[in-house]
Order: sequence, then structure tokens, then C-alpha cells
Amino acid sequence: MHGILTLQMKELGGVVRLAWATIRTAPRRPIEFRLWADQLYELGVQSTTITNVTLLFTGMVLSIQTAYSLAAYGGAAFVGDILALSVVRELGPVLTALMVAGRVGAGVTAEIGSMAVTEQIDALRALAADPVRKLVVPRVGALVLVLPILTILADTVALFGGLLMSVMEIGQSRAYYMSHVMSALSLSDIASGVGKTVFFGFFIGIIACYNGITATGGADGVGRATTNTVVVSSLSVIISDFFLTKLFLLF
Amino acid sequence: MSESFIRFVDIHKSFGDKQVLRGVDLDIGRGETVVVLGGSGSGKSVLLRHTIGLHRPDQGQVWVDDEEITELSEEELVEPRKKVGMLFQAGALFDSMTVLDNVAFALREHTDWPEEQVRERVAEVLGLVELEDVEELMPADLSGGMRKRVAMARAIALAPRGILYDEPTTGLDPITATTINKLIRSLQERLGVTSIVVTHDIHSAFTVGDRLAFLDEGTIVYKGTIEEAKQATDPKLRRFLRGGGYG
Repeated sequence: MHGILTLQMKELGGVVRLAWATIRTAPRRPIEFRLWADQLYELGVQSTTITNVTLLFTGMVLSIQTAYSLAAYGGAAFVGDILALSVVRELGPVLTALMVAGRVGAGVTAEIGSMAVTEQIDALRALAADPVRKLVVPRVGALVLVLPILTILADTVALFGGLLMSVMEIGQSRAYYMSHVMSALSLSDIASGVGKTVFFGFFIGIIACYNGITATGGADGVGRATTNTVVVSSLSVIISDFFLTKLFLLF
Repeated sequence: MSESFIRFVDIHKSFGDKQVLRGVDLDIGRGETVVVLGGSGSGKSVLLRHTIGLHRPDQGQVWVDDEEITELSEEELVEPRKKVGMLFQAGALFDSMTVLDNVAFALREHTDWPEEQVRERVAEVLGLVELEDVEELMPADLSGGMRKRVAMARAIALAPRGILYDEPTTGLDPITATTINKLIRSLQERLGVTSIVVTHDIHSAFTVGDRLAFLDEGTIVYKGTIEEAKQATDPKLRRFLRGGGYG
């Protein structure tokens, strides 16, 4: 037990050190525009389908469930309000981050992990290049930039899914649903929901890169590191969501 | 300026409970090629990686070109690393990049050369390792021997004064291994570089080395020229050489 605890503290220390090195290295010039562009495309653009499909169906099912469960209390009229708040404040950011943690986190760890076990990261260092600048900064930076954008898109798609069901299943008019959505939402709801994802992106990126860089032992080790990334980064999203929500409620 | 280009002083290194190096002393003179011979797990690759700070010793000192690099940070290691190129065991080519991008990597990273000059230099170093028209290929398209040669070209692109070879002939067929040995020799003659070759291939050691150090259980048990090594009476070295069909 003591051994496991020591190991986990050591890993936590490693993650914090990598996070600090990333923050320190990120503003340094020259900025690697090509590497950033590749990652923005690979981690951002390529994730839009999976996050949008997830939130489309979440919006649709949430709309039906809300109307069904609140029908007895005459609450079906408030589907737009409930949907807007729950999607924009919670479900949109968290579900988008979880999907990205699965897709992108696993991919990043597998890629960097394969580089680590085939000595490519040592080769980078031997060529007097900094692996943090070359590998970690573009990936973490891309995630921090794209996760808020993916979330805004996914929120919109979820509200559209809700609209479809409100019109087709519940029999509301489009204008009625939209007016409830718009009146329920305030700027602070959007800021709190989207603001959290900047942190989610950073956590997912750092955890994925750390597990990749420290992968050892060939394909088996890369597999374990990848699983570890999905588990730890998903948990970090769920747990940090609680604390970030508390924090944002203070303002 | 001392006569040594690379100097290991009393290097100790452990990984967890396993002590890999137990006090290694070794000097590599300017322009000479020292072969570090030893069995699997003897710690020879670990010793090699200390030369450019890929491992840090638990105790002892590493000197490169009259500068102690033992305690240098990754940023401070940039200059020593530009002086010494390294060929990794499996090549360690960046598999998401073309041959051109691999070989040009250090040039683009550390020089302000225009792209045209970079490409000329890439073609020149590929020529030194007897390759041409491979710039646009991906590492996955290359054979094992070609991959090693591209990795050699990448290691010498910045014209380093030292080259480290980690098991350069391991996993290659005898003909390709001979080609690689000849290339190592010709690079020494043409570029006048200092080299450390880590290997368990006795034929390769005798072909490329000026001097030989035999590493066993984390210490150097024998040092001498290649000719002296062939006649050496040290029992551990004799047993190793006999196992490889020599003596």
C-alpha cells in the first residue's frame, strides 16, 4: 500500500513538473506554427463529428425525458429553460471533454508512447531539441484552444436536438422553445460552461503527454499508458468539474 | 586543451535496486575510435547515453571537450549535444517525417540556413552514407540497413566532432553489417571525428576500433588497443572473444 502511494505521489509530481515546463515553454519563440496547425486540425477539427453527435442525441433525449417526467406538474413548458441551463452549464462542457479525453487523450498517449519506446524522444534530446516544445506544447495548446470551440458548437447542436424533439414530440412551436432558451441563459452561464473547458483541455493534454513520455516496455507498455490516460483524464474532468463549478459560482 | 575529447570519471548508475555501472573510468582521445565491448545487460548502452546527458550519473563526472556536463540542465546541454551526434540502436528515425525532414531536423533547429542550403547539406550527408534519391521516402518504406544509414546521416548533419554508435550492426544481415562497419570507418577517416562504438559484435569491434574497453558487470575489466586485445590474457575477455569465434 505504501509502495503504491509513493508511486502515485511520484507520478503526480511528474505531471505537475511537466505542466510547469509546458507553461514556461509555451511563450518561447520561435512558435512552431506548423506543429500547432497540425495539432489544431488533428485534435480539433477531427473531433467535431464525435462531440456533435454525442451532444445532438443528448439534447434530444434530455428534451424528451424532461417533458415526460415533468408533464404531471405542467413542467413540459419549461423544456427550453431546463435544457438550456443543463446543457450550457454542465452537460455540454463535460460530455465534450469526456469524448475528447477518450479520442484525443488516447491518441496522443499512443503516439508519444510509441515514440518513447522506440527511442525517438531520446533522439529529439540527442539532437538538442526540447521534447516539451516539440511535442507537448503544440498538443496541450491545441487542446486548450479547441475544447472551448468544440463545446460551443456541441452546445448549439444539443439545443438544436432539443428543438427538434420539442417541435416534433412535445408539440411546442419553434419560437416558444427558442424564447425559453434565450430567456433562461445569461452570459455568466455561457462563460462558466465554456471557461471550465480551458482547464479540462489542459488537464487532458498534460495527462496524455505525461503518460506517453513515461511509457516503457514496448507495445504492452504503450497499451497500458493509453488506458491509464483515458481513465485518469476522464476522472480529472469529472472531479475538477465539481471544484471549477464551485469556483465559478463565487463570481 | 586536454588530449581527451570525452572522459568518464568514476561513473556509478543504478536503476531502482539494480546497480548497472559501478565506477567506470574511460578516456576517449580526440579523433580516436573506442569500442566498448560487453555482453547484453553489461551497462554499455547506459554508459554511452551518459555522454550527452540522456542519463545522469548517481556519482562521478562526464566531460565533453573540456567541459563537465554532469550537472548541466537540458538547456545548457544544447551546445554539448550539438558537438556529439548519436546513432540509436534501431535508428530512432521520426516515423511521422520523411527522410529529408529527419536528416534536416538539426539543421532547421540550430541554423538559420535557407531551405536550399539545408537540402544541399542533406543530399551531401546522404551521399556520405551512400544513399541518394531517398529524401521523400518515409522511414517505414526503408529496409533496416537503410534506416541505420539515414540515422547516421541525421547524426552527422550538423558536422559534430564526436559520434556515438549504439549497437550499429545489431539486427542486420552480415553483408549490411559489413557495409555499416565500412561506413563507420570511412566517416572517421573523412571527417576525423571521435567515436564511441558500443557493441557485442566482436567482428565489428575489431573492424572499426582503434582501442577497446571491455565492460563486465558495470566495470571496465580491460582496456587496450585492438591488437593488444586480440592477445589479451584477461579471462573474462578471453571467454567473450572465444564465444564470438576469436581466440
